[in-house]
Amino acid sequence: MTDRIAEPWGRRTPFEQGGDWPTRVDEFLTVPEEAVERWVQSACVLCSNCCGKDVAVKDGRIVGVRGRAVDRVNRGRLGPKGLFGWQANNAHDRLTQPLLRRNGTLEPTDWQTAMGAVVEQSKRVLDTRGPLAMGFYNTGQLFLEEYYALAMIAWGGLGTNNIDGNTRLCTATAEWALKLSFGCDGQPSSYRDVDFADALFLVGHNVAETQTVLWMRMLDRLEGPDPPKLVVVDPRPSPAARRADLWLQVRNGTNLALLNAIQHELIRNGQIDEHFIDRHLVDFEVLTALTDRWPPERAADICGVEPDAIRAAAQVLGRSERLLATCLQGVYQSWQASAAAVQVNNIVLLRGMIGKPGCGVLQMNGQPTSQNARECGASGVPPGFRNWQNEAHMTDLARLWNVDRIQLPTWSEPTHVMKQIRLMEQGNISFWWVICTNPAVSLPELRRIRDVLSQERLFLVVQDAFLTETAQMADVVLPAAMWGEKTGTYTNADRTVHLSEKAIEPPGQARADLDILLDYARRMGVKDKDGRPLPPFDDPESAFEAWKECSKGRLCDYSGITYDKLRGASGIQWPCNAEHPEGTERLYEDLHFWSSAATANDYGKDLLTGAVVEPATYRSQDPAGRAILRAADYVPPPEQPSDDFPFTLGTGRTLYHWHTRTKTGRAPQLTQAARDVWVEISAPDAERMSIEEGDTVAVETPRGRVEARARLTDIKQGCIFVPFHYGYWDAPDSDRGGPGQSVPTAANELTISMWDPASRQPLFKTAAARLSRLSGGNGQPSSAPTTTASRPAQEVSGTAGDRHAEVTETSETHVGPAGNGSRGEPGGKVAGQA
Amino acid sequence: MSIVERISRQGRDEGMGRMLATLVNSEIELEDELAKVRDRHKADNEVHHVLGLCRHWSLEHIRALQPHGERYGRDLPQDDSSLPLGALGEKVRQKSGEALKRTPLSGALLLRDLRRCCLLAQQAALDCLIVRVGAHALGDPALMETVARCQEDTERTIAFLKHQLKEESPQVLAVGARPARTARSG
Repeated sequence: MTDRIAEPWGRRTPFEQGGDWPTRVDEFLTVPEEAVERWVQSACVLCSNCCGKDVAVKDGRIVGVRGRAVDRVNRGRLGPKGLFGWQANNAHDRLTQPLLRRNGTLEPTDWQTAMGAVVEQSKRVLDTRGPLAMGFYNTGQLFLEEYYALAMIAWGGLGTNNIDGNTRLCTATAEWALKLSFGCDGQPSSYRDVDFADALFLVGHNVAETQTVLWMRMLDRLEGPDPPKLVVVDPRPSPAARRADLWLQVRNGTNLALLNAIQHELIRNGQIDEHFIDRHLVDFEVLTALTDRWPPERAADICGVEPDAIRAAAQVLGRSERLLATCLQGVYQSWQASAAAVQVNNIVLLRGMIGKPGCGVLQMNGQPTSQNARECGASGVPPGFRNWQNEAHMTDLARLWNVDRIQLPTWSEPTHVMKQIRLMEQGNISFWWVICTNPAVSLPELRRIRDVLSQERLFLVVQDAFLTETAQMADVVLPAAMWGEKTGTYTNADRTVHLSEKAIEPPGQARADLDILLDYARRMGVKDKDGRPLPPFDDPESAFEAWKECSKGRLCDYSGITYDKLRGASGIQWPCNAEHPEGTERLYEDLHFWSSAATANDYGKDLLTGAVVEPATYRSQDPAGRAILRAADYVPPPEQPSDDFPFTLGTGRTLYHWHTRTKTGRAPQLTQAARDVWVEISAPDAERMSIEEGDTVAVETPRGRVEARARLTDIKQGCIFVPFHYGYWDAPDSDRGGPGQSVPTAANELTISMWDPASRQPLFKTAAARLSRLSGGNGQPSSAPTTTASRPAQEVSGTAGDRHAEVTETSETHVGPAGNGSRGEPGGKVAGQA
Repeated sequence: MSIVERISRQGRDEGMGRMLATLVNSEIELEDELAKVRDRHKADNEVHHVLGLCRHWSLEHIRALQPHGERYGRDLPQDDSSLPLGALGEKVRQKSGEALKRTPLSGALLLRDLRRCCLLAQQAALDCLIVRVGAHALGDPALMETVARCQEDTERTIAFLKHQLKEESPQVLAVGARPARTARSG
């Protein structure tokens, strides 16, 4: 047994380059194994890895989980969130009835009344103000079928362009980086490439915390006989940074300067693949001219690292033969996000490292199912990676949906969430439907968000499993089923599609999100041009079949996948079609990219202003299947540290929690591992300010204030970090939560309303802030975990779980082909839907 | 150089000098409008921030053109936005923007302001084009290079403004008063 709070990554199973990652089956049960009645196939939805797992059921309740040994993503392993997070399903405070606001108070009601109110209000708004007065804000945690239904109803049926997901906060830049470099969204590489790489370049990617099981895979390579070189860019001492051969501890917001200097070195040293560049890339001259101006000395000053460290990093990357580069929020939520993310693509492209085992780039996703939000049209792009500026694509979609072409709102990209907030602030949008997300804690500059969402003139519908901070402000609350209580598919960050079967009934009157959306569409009378109901499906599997038609022939081709094919097996990587019936491990093996004007997912944007490239311009320089090298100059962020606000503030995740803790805050092991908010400050900065571990400090920016206990770490001097999980639903000093009644703890009280103009992803890693000490900690350390990037600079008692955090880890001694002799395969104990 | 040649040379210089002054005046007009719109629409964060960048480009253009003006014997107009009166105007505009930011009127106002900026940017880009081809004909590569850079920046400003206009106008024009609805839903 392993205490997986104290040892989040569990025991090692080392392996060699190109070998098969050994299986290790992690299991956590709250009943004896023999008491389990059924095992039901699923996959985790608590990070973008989506590890295959089976759900244990007894007496109609979930009683535990076990990793699926056959699954290509995890080979049986689970992370702490996956092991313990499911307990939220059983929480006593689940929403079991619809709620309707009457005389200022949310009161329980029935579905007929609640949905009746939503439909009546929708019709009133449509009649008097039109579809653009409506907005839909969804999530990164629905299932594929639900996103597709939502896109069809809101965008195609009602005709509003105001549709976005909270994937905007986590994955929009990944999407844009891929579209800008390769012409199309779609992860080029595969997790399998970790097995082959001889160098890993992690840029702003705290993989050990955000994708724990992927880090297990990397750790097992690092402990193997021929470990890859590891280069990490991070202002915080993340587990990967501490493990790295080379750690570039840059200042927040300076990625682009660093990456330009690295490319300067690669080009100057001739460590580039000229043959590949000539045949498969465009705009090499533009990139060379720009990076020419970025010698390591210039970047070093900006980034706060030694010029020789930049040269050394370039040498590791330049000498590698199988280079795998990855990015996450340290790039996407930072300054010049899209511009920096595409430089990481540039680096692998300059070296010709793509489409081969161990080579390429993983532009990671933040949330578990954000990939599907991107694919299905729920987060700012028409479905099937279609190009809103390509008339043939839009005509094709109108034909597929059988709607009039003019009905599709294609005058611009769909409206991103921060613009929707602005439109509500103006009173322009007056109906907003929030599905399975918590903007009252997760969006920047919360005081403003609360002002907007609490307006009398706004009709707010919230669909969720819990009474979140956002739901507390709603006019109607619709109780939703959670994972495990409904069937559907979702796709992880390396294009692996999983099926998750319904294991148990949702509590009370809670309903599956798909059922809620379809009920709404039917009551609204949403129809195609021949008067047939839209969407033309009525359950998950028929929705999936409809989606297959929509995706067919596009890069994200699901046409070869069926529910049956996903049952019992490993996940399958798209594209999966007649040509690739078992799916596709990595894209672009033929070195032909999806960039031609006829197929491209997007025509690109100006990296500095976000201005869209017009179709005629793109056509005149058609890359025709070649990838595009994009160049951009670093410019300093507008909000720089000053005398008043001398620190640079970044916010982010911790290993043990997810989003606004709606689920993880209801799992005791995870709650105990990281109970309260903290602020990380470098030991030298703390000493200068006489702040000690555990002291209560105030963090302030021009937007607001948070009170938190101090954690002294090896974070970059001048930078501070606050985790973003801690809202107000469980605030100890308030029944209702919310500022004014509680001590402010939500990191977004502090963040700035600013975003990357290309990806529209908000800036969470670069704001100016000040700290002041409020009171001593009486020798008690902060509750920041010690196992993570929050590791203390000085000794404090280590994060550990109790006996309830003990997990069984079963490693196989003999490793055969995936599925051989392992548990959880077809014919084993796993049952399908009951 | 003969007197005749000198007079002719002077004439040429005057022509280009006048055109450079026209261009700089266009840039000043654009810069001034960008600053005003930026201040007024602080709540439209993206417009606010990116117009700051566009304005910075215009200010750079005004500075970069000065030595060329001298070469053509012309004192080019200067930007005066850093004067105390400018700061006062900024405060006033931010206040007025603040007062309107919660009303639908602010959307219509933004549309009007972006449109005006776009027209001024197009004027500046046109002047760049005229100066650039003139500089070519005069065999002045230094001016050609400067003004080509200005033109490129201004085209980026125009692209940004058009992109914002496309996103903004449907919300302003199609929300509220509507023509008789075509059947979209029952």
